[in-house]
Amino acid sequence: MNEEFYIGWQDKAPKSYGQSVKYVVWTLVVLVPLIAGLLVLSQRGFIPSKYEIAHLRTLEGILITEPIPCLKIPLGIDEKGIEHFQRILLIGMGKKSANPALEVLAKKTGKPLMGKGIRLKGKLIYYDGVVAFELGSEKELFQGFSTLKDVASTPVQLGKVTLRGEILDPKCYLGVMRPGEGKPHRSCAIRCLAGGIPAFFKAKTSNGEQQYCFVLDQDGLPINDKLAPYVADEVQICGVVEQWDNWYVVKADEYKQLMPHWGKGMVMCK
Amino acid sequence: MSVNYTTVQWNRQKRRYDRIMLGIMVLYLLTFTFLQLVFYPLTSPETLIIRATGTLAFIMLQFILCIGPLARLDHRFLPLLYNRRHLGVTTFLIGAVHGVFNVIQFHSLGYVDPIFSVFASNTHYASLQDFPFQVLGFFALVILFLMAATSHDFWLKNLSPRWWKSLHMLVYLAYGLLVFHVMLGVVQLEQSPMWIGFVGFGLLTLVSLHLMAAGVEKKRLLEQMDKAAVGEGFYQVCSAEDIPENRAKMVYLEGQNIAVFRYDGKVSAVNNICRHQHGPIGEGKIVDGCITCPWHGYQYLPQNGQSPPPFTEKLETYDVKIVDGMVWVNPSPYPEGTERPAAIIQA
Repeated sequence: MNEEFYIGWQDKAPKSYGQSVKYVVWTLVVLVPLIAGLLVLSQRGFIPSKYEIAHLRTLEGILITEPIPCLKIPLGIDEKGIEHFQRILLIGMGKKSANPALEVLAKKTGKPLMGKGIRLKGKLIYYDGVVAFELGSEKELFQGFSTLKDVASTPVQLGKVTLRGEILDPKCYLGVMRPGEGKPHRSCAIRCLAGGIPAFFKAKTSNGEQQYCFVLDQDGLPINDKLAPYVADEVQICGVVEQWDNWYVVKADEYKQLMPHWGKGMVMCK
Repeated sequence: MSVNYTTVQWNRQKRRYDRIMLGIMVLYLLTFTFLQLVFYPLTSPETLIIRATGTLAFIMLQFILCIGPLARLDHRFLPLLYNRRHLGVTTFLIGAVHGVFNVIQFHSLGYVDPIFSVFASNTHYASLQDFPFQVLGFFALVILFLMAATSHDFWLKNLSPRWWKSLHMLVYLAYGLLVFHVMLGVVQLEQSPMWIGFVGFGLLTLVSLHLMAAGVEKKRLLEQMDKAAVGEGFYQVCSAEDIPENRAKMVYLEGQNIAVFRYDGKVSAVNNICRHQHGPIGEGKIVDGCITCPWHGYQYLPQNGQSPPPFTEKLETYDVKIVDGMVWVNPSPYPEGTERPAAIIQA
């Protein structure tokens, strides 16, 4: 039997104990960075989305408050005399829709804002050609009305489709969080949808590309509460797709969770 | 051991332990951060903090849980056990950083209270695959908090060692919750075999070590049972020569866990469970005339089971006799601290 005996409150550990601890410590010194490296390298990476957190910008456009708050930025008139716009999604601070801030602004200016030319201050969020704008604080948001006039545009009907993909909140996915998708982000996306941020759908096309659209019901109204249970799952949505300027909007009449692995359980919509 | 409570009873070994612990933690965090920024420069600072602290806390908990069985299997690991409290409290603090950042990131700035949101956002409680994994992490953190908050001899004394130990055994529940927290959370996003292997290997190591430690204990008990003979309430446990000087033989008789010590040509028996943290007294040694627990150095006099004054801890004692060189023990315990005559070993 080893006659050495370890007592923690003594100043020094017996030699054999000290030697063993040294081996453990050196093993940890080698093992710990190795584990850190393996864990880091086994991540799947992050999309190059962008949130200009420290950069306030002023955007000028035509304000649309319903059903999806946005600024229509004029891009110019083509050779056929048609005026083109880029829609930029408006989002409130935190996990909230832009509407409360816009309602406060309407009261403050004493005018209905729908269809008005306006200059707003906030922060850009963007990824893969889709742009959102987080409204600035009440103090800095309103930068005045502009002379821009709304031009009524008719949505382009693209027909009925069956889409598969993931329901997200656009604020996080487009740049506020990386990653802003998947199971770990589910609760956050549900909070954002509950806060009125429009439901956003990342659809995967048959050739593996991604296509984005906003999701409304058949009547063109938000259905965030109905979609919330499906967030972060693989979902099939059936509905009519419309093009609103640079946006796609699906008016869903059916949505269901697919089993894990793409395509399983998927049945084309009638 | 101490008579009065102090926040931390620092000594040279504890200081070294903490320095090494902090050094290895910093090494992990720096390596993780450096590699993350090199290979994934798009990582947001919040994600980096959440992942670095989450993985570190899990690794630390895994290590902490391995120390117990390792020390049972080989006494040379005892120095790792001695200051495990600081490791545990630090694990809670690292886990708390992970938890707080998660709550701020995923649940704050909405229309409901962030803590309420942890429970009410994802409501797939009936689904294993979609189960709200953050709730599991929340409860694991609550357990680690309770353990960290009571990780002091003041609580050990006031809650009683039995209740204190039961509370601290919840660490295994916390570990189980965290395994599911990881598997139902980040593993479902990353889907890398490395993450699954990391959790699986840790779990397998932990279970194996506990089974091995239990196996050693069981073998010891079986060997002793084979040899046990009984007469007049006494059990024959071994030859006096089988017990090394200043060491003990541990026996389990009629539900009593007993340590039989040999010292100065005598043999005495006391309860084998240390009153401090239920350490195995019988794996200790007689130092300066006192039985000394191998876990934290608590001491007791062999003839009466009392800690030397001014300490107040006491163990039950047992009758011992030696017949023809064989040690016999009566497993009927005397009240804690009762003086019993030691059996004299005839030359």
